[in-house]
Amino acid sequence: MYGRRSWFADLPRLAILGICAAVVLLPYAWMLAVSVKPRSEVFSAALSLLPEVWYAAENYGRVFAEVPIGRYLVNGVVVCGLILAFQLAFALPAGYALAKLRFRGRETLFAFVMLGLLVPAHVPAIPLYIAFANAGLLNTYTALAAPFAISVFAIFLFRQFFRALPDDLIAAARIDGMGEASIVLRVALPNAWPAATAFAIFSVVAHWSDLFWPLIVVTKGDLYTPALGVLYFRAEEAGDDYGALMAAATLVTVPLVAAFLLAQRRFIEGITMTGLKG
Amino acid sequence: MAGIEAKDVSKRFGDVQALKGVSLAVAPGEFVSLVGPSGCGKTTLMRSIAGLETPDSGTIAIGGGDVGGLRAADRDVAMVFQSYALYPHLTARQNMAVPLVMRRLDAWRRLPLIGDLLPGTRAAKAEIAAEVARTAELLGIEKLLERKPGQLSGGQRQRVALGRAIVRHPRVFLLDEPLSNLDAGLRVQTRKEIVELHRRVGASTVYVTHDQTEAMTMSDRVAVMMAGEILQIGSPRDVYLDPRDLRVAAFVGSPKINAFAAEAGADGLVRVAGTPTGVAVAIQGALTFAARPEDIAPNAHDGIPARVEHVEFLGEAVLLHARVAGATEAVVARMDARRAGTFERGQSIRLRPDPARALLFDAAGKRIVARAVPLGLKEIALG
Repeated sequence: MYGRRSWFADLPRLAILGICAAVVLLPYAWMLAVSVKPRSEVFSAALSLLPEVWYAAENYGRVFAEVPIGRYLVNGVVVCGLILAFQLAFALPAGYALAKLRFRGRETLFAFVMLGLLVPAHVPAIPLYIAFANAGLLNTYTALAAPFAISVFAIFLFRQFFRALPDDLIAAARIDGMGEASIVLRVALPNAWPAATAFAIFSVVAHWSDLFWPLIVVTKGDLYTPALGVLYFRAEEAGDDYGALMAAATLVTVPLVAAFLLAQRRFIEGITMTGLKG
Repeated sequence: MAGIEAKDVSKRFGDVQALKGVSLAVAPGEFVSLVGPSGCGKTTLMRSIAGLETPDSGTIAIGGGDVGGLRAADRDVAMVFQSYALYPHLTARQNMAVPLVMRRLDAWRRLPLIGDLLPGTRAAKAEIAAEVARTAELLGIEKLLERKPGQLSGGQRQRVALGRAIVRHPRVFLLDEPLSNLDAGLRVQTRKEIVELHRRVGASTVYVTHDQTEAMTMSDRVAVMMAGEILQIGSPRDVYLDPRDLRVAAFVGSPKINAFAAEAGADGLVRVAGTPTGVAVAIQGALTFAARPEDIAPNAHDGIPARVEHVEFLGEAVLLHARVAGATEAVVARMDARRAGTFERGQSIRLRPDPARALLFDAAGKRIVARAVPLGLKEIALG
């Protein structure tokens, strides 16, 4: 029955979805368009996606010539990788302990985690800056990654996910000879792939495009993250070069989009393979 | 071979006293069932033996050594869970290999790539693979080894769970209601297979179930638990024919034993609803007179008056449900189908329990000694 419905019946739905998709994609399309246009066309009255004069080589050429964009991308990978690795290393065991171990004060600890969720990242920014400055750690990877190493959101997320694991499964693992660390790695994590992937997407996207914190603790160009790199083309004395700015933005976005598409596949796989019950 | 000895084990969960000083001794190689209604503490006792619960007091020894301070992993016990608790992300083969991998390979050798490079890893892994294959053959699941638990039926999962438990030849084998998720036919078949498996493996086995038929048919001894205590432990025969407690008598046997409120006079003769039963006891006052359905026969002339409510034809037997005036529960009499007469609903009959087989319990539910006394003609006439 379902398969026989004509495409006509689906039309309103498709139209709404199409419009939503267009609204979301439009800025990206515009970014791509501007990145291949000469400056004169960016502000022309005619609204056209395709440029009259193909200016891609100049815009992208300028990006590669004037900023070490490759270096920034590497910085981004290093910082995001460090952050994610530490977040998982702390949140997986913490989430497991809060979900499945019985100990005094567990609920209080969890209440603190929930409280931690309420603190915006900007609140501790100045104390943290002073601390890093006093420790002589400004302009280091440590300064970029350390404040995010413990994610209360991740602890909360994994705690919720691990709660759904049957207690018998944990008991079976203990009887089979696993210690608590092995249980986290060999039983809890493999069954929490959807949560881990979802969290990885959140984390990487947030820190890849984070401008606020890198701007505070990094002043040397060779530690710039991708978002800071884009900034180079803004607010120059000669005025903004939107073509090069958008070219840089495109270069910075592409790895993220690619990573997301890869992870999305894994994400869907993860959801379909969780046959936890039984 | 190692026996299990639990002494005075108590465990409290919040307001609930799950175990009240339970003692249980399982001889090496013995098959003991813990049976009782849900919430009676049988699973808690088993989990305490496994090391998954820490008792508040009491000691547990396996093979003569106190295991109180040992983690579940170090007690050398294997357990089959009611839900099977297979690792959903691993194939049946990997599931069965887990206990061996965790025990025989150290942390370095378990590492994905580096582990294989270390000396001895390959030989150990080959041996594990061979043992998993041998166990799979024993259980007839060779063809299922590459499937994940999600792709297996209930019965197949149960076999994989059994395989995971026996593959490492544990000292003690614990089974927590392993058959309750199977359909009736498979349950009867698997019952027999588990008993055979136990004979072959020879490990001391504790089997938890709420199903008294399973307990009776499989075990060397049955421990009947209720409200955190073991009421009686003995052979299935003893528990059925010689129950020490009214609750044991009521729990074991299907249909349930018939219990009548009775009165013992000054002469010690027991009467039910004023009818002499032909049984005498050493005490006086209110007590419970109980008789198994097969020990009660309908009779035209003497016995306890009752009215037929319902007749069930089972093939080899007929169950006659009748009600004694004022009683809340129907009396069930079991008769040989070929000898049973015909009964009609509402018909008045008399039920005569066999005095030689009647079980008597005092007001507290404890069994008391009874002897059959021949009824005088006068008493029959009065009845």
